[in-house]
Amino acid sequence: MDAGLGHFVALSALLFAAGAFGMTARRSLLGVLLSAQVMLTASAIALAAFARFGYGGTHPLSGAVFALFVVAGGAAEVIVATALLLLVHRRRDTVDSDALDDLRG
Amino acid sequence: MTVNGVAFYAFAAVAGLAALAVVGLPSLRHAAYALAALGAATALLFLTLGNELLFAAELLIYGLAVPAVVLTATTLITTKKTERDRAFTAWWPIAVLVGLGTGALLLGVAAVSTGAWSHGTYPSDATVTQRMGALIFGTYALPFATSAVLLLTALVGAVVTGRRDDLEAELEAAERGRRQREERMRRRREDRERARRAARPAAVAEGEGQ
Repeated sequence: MDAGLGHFVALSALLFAAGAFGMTARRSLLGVLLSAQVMLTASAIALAAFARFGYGGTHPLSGAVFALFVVAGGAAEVIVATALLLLVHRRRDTVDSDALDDLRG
Repeated sequence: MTVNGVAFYAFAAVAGLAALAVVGLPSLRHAAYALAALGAATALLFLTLGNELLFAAELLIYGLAVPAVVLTATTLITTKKTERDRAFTAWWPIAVLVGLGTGALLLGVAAVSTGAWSHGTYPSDATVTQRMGALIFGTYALPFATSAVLLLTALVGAVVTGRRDDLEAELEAAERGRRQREERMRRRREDRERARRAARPAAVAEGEGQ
């Protein structure tokens, strides 16, 4: 049996769900960042799969190109978020999301 | 089952386990290793889809670069033992519901909308990279240039954000100066004490000994 679009979409949904759980449940902001990367990876898998199985209208490869942009965007996100987390850690000595509650109403 | 099907199930299993490890492991260092495994498995999944360009990009960025940056960050960010022991927030049951709900919603949408997209013809595997290049530098030239600017801006932003500002530098210099002064005073006290002991007559020292 060959893997079809449904298999890839199901895998993508499961990875996205795992990432959503991690983003909500993780205490460390670095853990939240890693969970966001899992979600981005899931979306890239879905985009590439849609491209492979021809669901792209006149440009079937558009999905694969978008997946490439998602990967590049994810790399940019990691760079900026890591720099911000280092800054937060230097000033507050923690990256625990429960401890950083200055904006709590 | 074909080789492609076996490869999909093998890499999908690795990707799923790695994703669970990324979101579930208490140690961030181990989670970063799991992210590398997820990146490698995803890259191999792209290879089963016949896309070598995505395979290379995913392997280099998510399999190597991103985990390396995160591992570097974990060495610079020291977490307290209490933070390590409690990896999840108090409302993690709600997070489980969020995860399950998101998964169910996405699977539901995929199941309902199957066959609703317009169908095009996929090029042969030999010309995928060539055609992607033509698309990137043709139809999607502007988004490509924008993403290049985004990466450059992120790099500059990270350098500016990570730099210590003047006040921070002054405070650190003052703290360093205070420590050096304390060290100098401690050494001077010890030297004076040593000199005082050496200057005392031997008889007094013997008397003190008895």
